[in-house]
Amino acid sequence: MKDLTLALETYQYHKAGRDNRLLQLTQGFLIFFLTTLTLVSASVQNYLQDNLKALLGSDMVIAQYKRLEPLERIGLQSFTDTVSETSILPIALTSNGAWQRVQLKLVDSTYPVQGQLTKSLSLGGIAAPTKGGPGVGEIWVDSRIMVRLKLNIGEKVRIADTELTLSAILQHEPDRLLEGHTVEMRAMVHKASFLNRALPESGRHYRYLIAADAKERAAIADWVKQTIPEAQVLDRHSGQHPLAAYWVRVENFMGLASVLLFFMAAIAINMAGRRQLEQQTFRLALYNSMGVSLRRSMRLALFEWVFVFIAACLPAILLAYGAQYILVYELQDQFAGIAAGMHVGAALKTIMLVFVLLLSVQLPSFLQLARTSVVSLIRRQPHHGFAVWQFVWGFMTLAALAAAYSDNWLLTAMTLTAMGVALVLMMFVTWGVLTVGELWGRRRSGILPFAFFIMKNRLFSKSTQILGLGLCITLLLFTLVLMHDIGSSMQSQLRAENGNLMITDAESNQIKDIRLWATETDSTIRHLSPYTHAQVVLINGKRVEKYVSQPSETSARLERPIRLSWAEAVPLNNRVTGGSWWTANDPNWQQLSVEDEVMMDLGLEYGDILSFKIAGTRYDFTLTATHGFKSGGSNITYWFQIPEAALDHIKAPVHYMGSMELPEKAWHELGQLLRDHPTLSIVSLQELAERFDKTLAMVTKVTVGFSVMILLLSFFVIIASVSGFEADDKKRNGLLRSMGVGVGDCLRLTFYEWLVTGLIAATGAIAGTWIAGQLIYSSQFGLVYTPHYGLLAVTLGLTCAFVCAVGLFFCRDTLKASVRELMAE
Amino acid sequence: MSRPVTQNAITLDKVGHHFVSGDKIVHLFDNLSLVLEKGKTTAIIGPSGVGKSSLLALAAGLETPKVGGVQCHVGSKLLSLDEMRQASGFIFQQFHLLPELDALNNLALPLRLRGDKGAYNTAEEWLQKIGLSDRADHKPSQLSGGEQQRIAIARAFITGPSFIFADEPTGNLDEKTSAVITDLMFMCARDTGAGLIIVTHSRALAARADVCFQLSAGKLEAVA
Repeated sequence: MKDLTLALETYQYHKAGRDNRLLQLTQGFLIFFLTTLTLVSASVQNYLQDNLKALLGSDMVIAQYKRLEPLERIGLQSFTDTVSETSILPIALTSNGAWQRVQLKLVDSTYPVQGQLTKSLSLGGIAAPTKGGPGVGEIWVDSRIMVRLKLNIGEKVRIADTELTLSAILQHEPDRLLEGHTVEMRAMVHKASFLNRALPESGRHYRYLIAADAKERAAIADWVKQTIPEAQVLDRHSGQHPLAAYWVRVENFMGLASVLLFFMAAIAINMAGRRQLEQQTFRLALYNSMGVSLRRSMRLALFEWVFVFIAACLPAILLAYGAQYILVYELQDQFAGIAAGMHVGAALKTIMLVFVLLLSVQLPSFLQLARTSVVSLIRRQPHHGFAVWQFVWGFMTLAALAAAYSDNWLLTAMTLTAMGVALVLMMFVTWGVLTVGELWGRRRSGILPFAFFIMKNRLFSKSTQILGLGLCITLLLFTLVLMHDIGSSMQSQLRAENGNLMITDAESNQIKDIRLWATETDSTIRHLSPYTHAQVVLINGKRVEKYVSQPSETSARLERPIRLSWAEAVPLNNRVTGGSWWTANDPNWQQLSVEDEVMMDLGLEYGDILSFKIAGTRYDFTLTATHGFKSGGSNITYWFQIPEAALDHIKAPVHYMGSMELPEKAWHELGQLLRDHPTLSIVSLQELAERFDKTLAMVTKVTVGFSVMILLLSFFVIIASVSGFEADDKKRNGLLRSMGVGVGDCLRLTFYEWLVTGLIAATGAIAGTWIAGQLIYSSQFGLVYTPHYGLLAVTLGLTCAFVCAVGLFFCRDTLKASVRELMAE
Repeated sequence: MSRPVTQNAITLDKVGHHFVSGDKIVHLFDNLSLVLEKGKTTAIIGPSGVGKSSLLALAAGLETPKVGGVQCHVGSKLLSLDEMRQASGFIFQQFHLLPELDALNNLALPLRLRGDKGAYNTAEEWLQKIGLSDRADHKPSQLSGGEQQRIAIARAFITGPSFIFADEPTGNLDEKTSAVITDLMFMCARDTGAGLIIVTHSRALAARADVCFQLSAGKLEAVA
């Protein structure tokens, strides 16, 4: 008989069994999740590629945070005639007393270089293409600004001292995607509408849109590298899309979630496979007794496993395609016009990866099967060290997966550490509780002492159940607690610490007027801290993108100027987490302290030299300390800080960041302040809250989805752990019945077992959550983890209730064990 | 090996065996020599725990003795372990039928594993021989212990092995059923010419064998 036929027959005999169904469900679930992620990602990548061709608005873009010098401009135009200078500046628009902060794009007469610019003449009107941008003295705004400021076409809009006429509604810009994934409101003006130097240079992002052939582009790229190395060059034809790196980071974050789900799936598979392994061992030993070689037996076992995988795969893939369509629809806000696709190659790649991972997790079982002997049919053979091997190998597989998927090493390390510590704690608690319980019950009679006796004697199998459950509950609890705490803590902290208006960027010449305005309007300035804009250009002599090995939020943020602050002593809301902070009067002013998460993300070390460009001049600083956030005082903390003494050596404009508390009446007066200082960057708590609510809604959606998956996997783990030990439980109950113990007492025994299991698992979960909170809250979210005892008590109760209910439900078959069955056996 | 090679036999030459339990070494037997001939029935009796099953496992090539050697010749050919597996059959105390297969399929399994296209026909013949044709589509859970052991015996003999190893074949059966099983085993051994090696604590069963040995205190003695 062909091996495939035999393996398929064996699979069909077992497919309806609970263990097989559970295995298939768990594998299928994992395949579904990972394939959905892959398909959505492929759709996004395809979208980015297509958009790159049509929507970059030019063949090439040179981007930097200062205008090209006249000589540099001449140099650029020596390669090609078609160059359009655009710049983006965050600024406040005012009209009839109302104001709105917008991203103002200043364009020249050459704009747009390629692609279609469209506008409409009324809200809801049809977008029509137009040859050029707004004329001198005109302004175009997007429809949201129209609504927010209650504008009509023809009305006047003010920016600083310049009055502009609203002549159209901006619909579509061909270079829009260059802005990345910001949802800021947008406006466009001709740069000649403003007198020279009427608008500040600080904070302005310049983009030079270029039309050029391949030879010209190569020459320009070389020229930029030599002449203006800090500028960014984007070439549409080489596939560099500004959103690509962002999407990679989203994927990497989802990757961490995948690792955790895979961890839980591996636990469920391991437990469900326990009985299957025994059955397979028996079957292979029998085949061996019939003359089948061990090699052939292993081949049969592998084929059987493959059939289970295929059966899990097929429905999972179909569902993943369906889920892709739903998720792509949800992503329309972020990527307008994105479409779902087949992406067969990408899907196959993911399925192969899952195949390899699951096979890897299965490896210890296969090795165990390879030791099968006919002797096991004659007498019982011990399996030395198998469980330990299984655990170690499973952990190594997961570590490899985590290393491949995650880009936030700190978060990954912290999460795995918290899980690991929770596991070790649960092991100790399990051993402790069962040992003490067994000792306590030795001289006592009754079901509870007997329950401890049984559990102590099955210490290993009980520990496995408890660890599996405890891990699932830890993940679930931490996810829910984090979601709750982010929502309420950030909201209350914002209110308590920062007032109701944040000043995100105020120039030093604006501070006097701000203080005056505050006095006039009975507003309170909560705090103001100084900084200067600085661009990180080199790390140890290398450009940042060459230095970092993996894209991250941190490295992406460094593409723009950062806020560099200074202090003599450690600020009140910071603590030194490593290295040494400079002393007062330290002659070495070129020292630098970096936030610890930034240091980890960039892979920095003490002694590294970071080069900053500040007001056109390069300054080098040596990394000597790291700092972290500490609650108390302001919520504003800076990534990079230098000694105050550096100010004597650095010529740079000083800006301020801070917060104010405004009474109700002061809000109406803000328009005046912004008219006088349009570049003053402020954001109200209401707007922050709106942004926050949107973010929270998205985070809630993702978290709820993730929690549902964890809950489902927890369910699988419980069923698997019941199934895995069902035969033992059945035999035990049968024996007890033969000794005169009633069904009710057997039920109570089962209940006590699951209660103790649930209690220890919940305790481990609470401890694991506490550890994770201590490690992760502060460094990742700037929060302090404070356990909610009420919530923890509810968790304890619900966990025990859930575990007992599910455990008892799935144990009901074992309670039907009869003495007759024992005799038949 | 110092003993002369015996054709169509399994030869154990000065075999010694022990196993480790915790920090103790349990010696089973030393310097034990034995020839198990094809075509003959051999019984090994002895009290529980004396090492009968271990001796059977050594003779079947399932384990390697700590001292001495085991060889299997069919004709004059010395068989490798894999070849010996192909030339052997087993009957177990717990029957060990596959619970998911019915009687016919359990019986046909060894033949199907060897790619025998007439497996089911042969299995049907054997089912008839053991008087269970009407139970062909019954699973082991639907059969009595005796019926299961009859199928297990037929399964052991169906491939025409040179040697059959039976470990306490009637250990889980009542006296009457044991007698039926014993008759069937010996009949099959006689009809197929296989060498039947039985480990048992039943003297009645042992008495039916051509040759009987008693294993006790690490020594093997022939019993008249």
